[in-house]
Amino acid sequence: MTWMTWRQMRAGSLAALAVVAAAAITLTITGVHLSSLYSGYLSCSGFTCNAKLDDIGRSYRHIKLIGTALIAVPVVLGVFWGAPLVAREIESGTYRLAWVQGVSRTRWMASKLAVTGAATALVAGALTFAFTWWAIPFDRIEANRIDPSIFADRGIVPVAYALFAVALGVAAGTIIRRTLPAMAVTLVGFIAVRMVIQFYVRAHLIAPVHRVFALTQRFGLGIERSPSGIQLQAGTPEFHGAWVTSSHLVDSAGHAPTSAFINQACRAVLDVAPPSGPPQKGGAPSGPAIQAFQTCLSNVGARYHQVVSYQPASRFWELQWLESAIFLGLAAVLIGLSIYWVRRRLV
Amino acid sequence: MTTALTATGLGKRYGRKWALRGCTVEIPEGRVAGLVGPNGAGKSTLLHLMVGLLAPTEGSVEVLGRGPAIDAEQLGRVGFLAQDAPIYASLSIADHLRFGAHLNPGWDGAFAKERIDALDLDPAQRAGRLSGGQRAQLALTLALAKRPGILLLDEPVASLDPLARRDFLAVLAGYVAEHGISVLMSSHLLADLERVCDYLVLVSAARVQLADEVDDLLATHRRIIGARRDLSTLPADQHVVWESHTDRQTTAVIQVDGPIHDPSWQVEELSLEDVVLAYMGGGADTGLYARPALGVAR
Repeated sequence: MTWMTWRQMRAGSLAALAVVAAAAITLTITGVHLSSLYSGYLSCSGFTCNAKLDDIGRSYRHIKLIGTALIAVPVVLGVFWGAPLVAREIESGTYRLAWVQGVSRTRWMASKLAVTGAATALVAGALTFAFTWWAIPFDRIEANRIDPSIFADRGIVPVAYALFAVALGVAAGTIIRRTLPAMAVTLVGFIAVRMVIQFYVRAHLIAPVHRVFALTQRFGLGIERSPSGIQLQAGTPEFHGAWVTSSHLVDSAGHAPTSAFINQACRAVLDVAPPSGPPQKGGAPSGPAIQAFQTCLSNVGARYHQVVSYQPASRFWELQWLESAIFLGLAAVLIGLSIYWVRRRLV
Repeated sequence: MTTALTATGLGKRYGRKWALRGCTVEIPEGRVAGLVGPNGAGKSTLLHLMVGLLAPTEGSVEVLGRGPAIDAEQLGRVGFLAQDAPIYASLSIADHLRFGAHLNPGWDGAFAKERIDALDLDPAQRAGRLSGGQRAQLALTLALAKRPGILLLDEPVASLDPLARRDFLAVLAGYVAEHGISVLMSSHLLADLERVCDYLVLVSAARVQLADEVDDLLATHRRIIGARRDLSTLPADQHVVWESHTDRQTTAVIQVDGPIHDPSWQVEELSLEDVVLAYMGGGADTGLYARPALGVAR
């Protein structure tokens, strides 16, 4: 049965192998060059440092861009390997051939899943590993691996995403019984789950670190007039290597500034500022405006401080493992559902 | 006598419609049984239930004494050729034989290769390029090479031209004669069944209307033709299967165990096709084989 699964996915696996091979060759050749540039930068001194850093920054921008396409690999595997796995057998009627051979449906399903799962993990793993290695110089310099724009392209989560996508495809194909609709459901479902986890769950997987800062101009402060009143917007500071998830102004009791307080504390700014203009930070304010803003800042800062929540860079692997566990757990549930469906519910 | 197939109160419902209901039938071992009935009568449903591709809504079915598809061993004992002979279009003939060998512990590789050679097929050819007849032969080879104890075939010759049909049935008949396995084959081509079957199961309107040895069916059914008369005056052992009256003449198909003595009838023997058509065409009280719901779901 293992042989049969291989035989059926031969065309697909050859294509995947070609992609992996092409990526590996490109990344190896350019990666060696890139790491030599990086070691040159590490041993730099004085004025040459900036030039060397610029060199690295300018190098291989297009490959870096292609690397971000890694984010699509899991869903592509889910759509092309997961969705047709059972659906195509049903659509073409070959389930009536496969399921009357001397192999139980459970074993048939288990072999198909094992082979497809292994191939999926291999492809996603190889691509991610190659790209993660290739991008080491950039990641060291930018030190923002934990940032959501990069997090999903590195480490082990791509493999978990891919296994989840394939499991989703298999379940959709088994239940819907038609390949094309199952592919569509896989695409939409995968993107939805990924977004929910990325935007609403990941930041809370580990309780974020809170740090309290006195209000200074360093982080910026904005004043916003909206129909619901006047609000102060604390600027989001950029911590080197950390993923800042939120930033608030609170007083010692934990309350945000009220409209009445802002009105009073920043009256001068409100008088100077255009009625519905953009926040007051930035731009090139004139003398009186600067004066007014400084007053406002010190008035607010006397009572309020800034609380910044963030995930430090050191939690990269912890978050990777936790998020992987979530996706693998979801995948396991979907696989269980698919096996149950093939055994009990199908035709 | 052991039974090849036993169904007890077997029924399958799709949504609110019963595809098969109250099916109770026993087919002895070693028979080549024909399964006939109009399109949509439940033939495929019955076969799929027997091979475990469907689960019954009610009742039970046993094949060679065990529930269908309950384990790999049982799957290996039942050869099944589904309607339209499904094959993997992108795989070669050799791939299909390897597929059979990997999935069936009792696979007879020499037999399979011999059959492909005898059919003059190129093992490297893609199965999707085969003609209808070759495709059916490949599917039959897959079903036979696993050395099944019983063979179930769903309309195996329906889509074949007469020549391919003859070849297919010749192979089947030859194998059965040599190995003596039980066969249940559905078809709506009665002439073909008449040639190869010695047992007949008639399914109509989601019910089994008739199940018996072909010889017995032929021996116990007669067409009687005579002056118009009321058939309720027939002797108690004569059961009307089908009747037709014109102004002056009455024609009927009756089931009778003994000779017909009434000299006013012109008595004719029937072909198997005549018997089947009589059962499919009428709803009269048919005595022994009567099933009350005849025609209800039509």
